[in-house]
Amino acid sequence: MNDAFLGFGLGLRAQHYPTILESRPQVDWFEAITEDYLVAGGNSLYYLKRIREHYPLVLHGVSLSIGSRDAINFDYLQKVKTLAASIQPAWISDHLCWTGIHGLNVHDLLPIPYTEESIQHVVDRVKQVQDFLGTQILLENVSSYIEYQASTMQEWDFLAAVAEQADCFILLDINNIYVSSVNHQFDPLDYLNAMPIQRVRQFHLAGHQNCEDYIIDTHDAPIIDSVWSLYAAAVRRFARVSTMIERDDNIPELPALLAELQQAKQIAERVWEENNVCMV
Amino acid sequence: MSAWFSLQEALQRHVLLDDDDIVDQLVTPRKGVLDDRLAVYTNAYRWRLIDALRKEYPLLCTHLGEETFAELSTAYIEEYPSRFYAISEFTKQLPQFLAVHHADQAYLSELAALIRALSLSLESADAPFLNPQALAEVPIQNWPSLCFKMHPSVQCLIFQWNTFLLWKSLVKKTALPRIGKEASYCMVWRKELQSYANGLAPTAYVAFQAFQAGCCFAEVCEAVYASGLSSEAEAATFVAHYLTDGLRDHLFSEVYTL
Repeated sequence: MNDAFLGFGLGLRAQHYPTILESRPQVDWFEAITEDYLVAGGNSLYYLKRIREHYPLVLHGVSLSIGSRDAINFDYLQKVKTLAASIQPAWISDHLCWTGIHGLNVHDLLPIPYTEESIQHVVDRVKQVQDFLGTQILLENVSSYIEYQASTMQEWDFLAAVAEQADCFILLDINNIYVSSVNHQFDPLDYLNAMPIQRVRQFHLAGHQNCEDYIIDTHDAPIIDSVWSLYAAAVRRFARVSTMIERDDNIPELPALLAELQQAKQIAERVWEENNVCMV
Repeated sequence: MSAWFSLQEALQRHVLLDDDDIVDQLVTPRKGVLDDRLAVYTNAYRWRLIDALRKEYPLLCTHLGEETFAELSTAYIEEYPSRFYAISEFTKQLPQFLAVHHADQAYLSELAALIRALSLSLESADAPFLNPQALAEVPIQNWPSLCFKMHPSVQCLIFQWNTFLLWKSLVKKTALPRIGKEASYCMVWRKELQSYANGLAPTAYVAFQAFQAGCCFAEVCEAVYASGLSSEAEAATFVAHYLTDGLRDHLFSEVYTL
């Protein structure tokens, strides 16, 4: 059993701020995009702090660029640390990827080749980040559309090795596993089965766009049945893991997301019941 | 350079410049073609940045039309690729870009600067707003030496064109004014959770500048009088009204004496 189970959460999006404060929906926790709140003050921070008064929050970054050859951006990390001190998130996460070099940010989650060299590079940097923040972080698996010839191992072995050697946690994105399994033709259950159980602290669920020959991870559509099935398999393996739904485009009104979240909860509860997992 | 770092160079060059060196380093996909897979990254890069510009400058996009705005955005991305952890920060140099590359339509740069200032006001530092009641208790003889600190969200823009009227028409969706040269001032600020912009008369601009510079009430009155825009007697009345309106609009956050 995971000792950091927050329940079932949603991504915090600006269009839902007033509704959340007015109606206090039945959501166990929210995940806030870190970079949206690294500002001096004003509206976004106002809402974040008000919402924090009523809900647990986690911070989810997109610009740590843990795999980049560029030096770690400690100015950015200091801002993250200051924000974290202010809102006391349950944890801080980012992605196992790189987002740019030479000081540029392409604002995309670019894949890393799965080699011993890149494991060492990422592990060293995760340790520096964790030392600086004073806390263990979670790293999320990203969707990918290309594979490097240089890779010498599977993505799941790479992620597991990074988590073990850096002593960090894993944010397992179930949709991203599904997307990459279609794009690179592997069995998504192999991925789940390779994950060290005690390292997995959070699940992401999301929708995507199917382009026939490949899938793009767009976060702009409802979750499809195959991803729900994979989620059920993940719950079977990892039991009680904090789960949240990400929607970044075509964002519907809150009730539509609450209905999807309810579906996640029902799936998890059914699996827990089948496996005699304590539901309290 | 390590093999991994060479791959980063090659992939980033592909995303930014369509350079094809990365192709030989990638596995041929079992379904579909590699070009389509790489296009997911190149398309997403441009789409995300153009979308960020569209979200930051929606009125500019409305004014120029989607196609022109997309062309302008593409040129901007090439000259100012993002160096920021937040994508919204990447958009902030558009006014400078327009000033250089659309100098013949200088009002576009001013319009972008106004839109950007409104956005900045919404994320500027928090500060209390000065309650008019606090001033009511100040003895009249202390007023000349009172200084007022402005709220961090307050900004003043100087225009050479009738940009404020253009912006106002775009916001209200009314007929656009005939665009022409017209020196003017515009104040931008945040009140509670809403950003505001308002045209500023030349006298009000003098008062604003003096308050912003840390001048006390008496010095602000002198600056207004010295500007030649009002008589000595009118200057004090004008500044008092300016203060009253400013307190109502939450322009001031603190009062202190020299």
